[in-house]
Amino acid sequence: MDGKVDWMAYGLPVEGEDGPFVGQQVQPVATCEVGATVADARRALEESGEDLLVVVAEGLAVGQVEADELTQHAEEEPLLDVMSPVPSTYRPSVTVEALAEDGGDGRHLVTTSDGRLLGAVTIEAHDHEHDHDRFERDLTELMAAIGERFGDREPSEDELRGFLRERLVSEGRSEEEADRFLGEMQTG
Amino acid sequence: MFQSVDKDEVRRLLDDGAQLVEVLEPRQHRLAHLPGAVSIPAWELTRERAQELDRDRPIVVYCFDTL
Repeated sequence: MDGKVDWMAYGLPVEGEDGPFVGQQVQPVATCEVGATVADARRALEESGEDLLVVVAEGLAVGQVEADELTQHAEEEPLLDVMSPVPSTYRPSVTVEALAEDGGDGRHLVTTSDGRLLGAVTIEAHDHEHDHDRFERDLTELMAAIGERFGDREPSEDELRGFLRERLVSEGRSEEEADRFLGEMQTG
Repeated sequence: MFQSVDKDEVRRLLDDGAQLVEVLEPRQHRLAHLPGAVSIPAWELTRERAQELDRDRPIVVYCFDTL
């Protein structure tokens, strides 16, 4: 049955603070039905230009095979005998950030809650490095700004909170958003 | 009258001016909701809260996996 998860699965627009979501970045993957042979899989991979093929049964992901593995098997071999089980898959309603944290770099299959294959999302290794670098830069800038405002004196909690709120608002967040962010930071 | 609809029907209803109601907890709504959806958690779906809605327009109520 459709719901918010399925809405997102089709990359349809959503509003809110979170995102981007896996469902908005999912890409098609090469597939073959369970009755296919190694030759069918090779052909599908050649046509798609991909190096990973997902084996499906009536739309459900049941296995996968890498292009390299296929070279070790005869063309007439059933794909069922060659494929590996599908690893953990992700729902389209998960954020890309959460997927990267949980699954790390590489390609991850995306399925609906009932196992229907939607495609895959690839997390690039440099994305993490970029995020890490950005976090380090933001933190350095923030510490410098705190030093500039308060000098050697250690600010009270209220002063620090007021300073952070002012900074968040100056960066374009609404006062309400800034308060919510600070509230979450305190409870988190 | 109550009936289940799929996403394509929801899009059609929205084009015709339907209202969307998300019945998940407010945090879920804050993080992500269908465009224009109002948040009325299932446990707050009382006659009083229902008065916030326009009875002359279709109302699409959804949760995580059901429209």
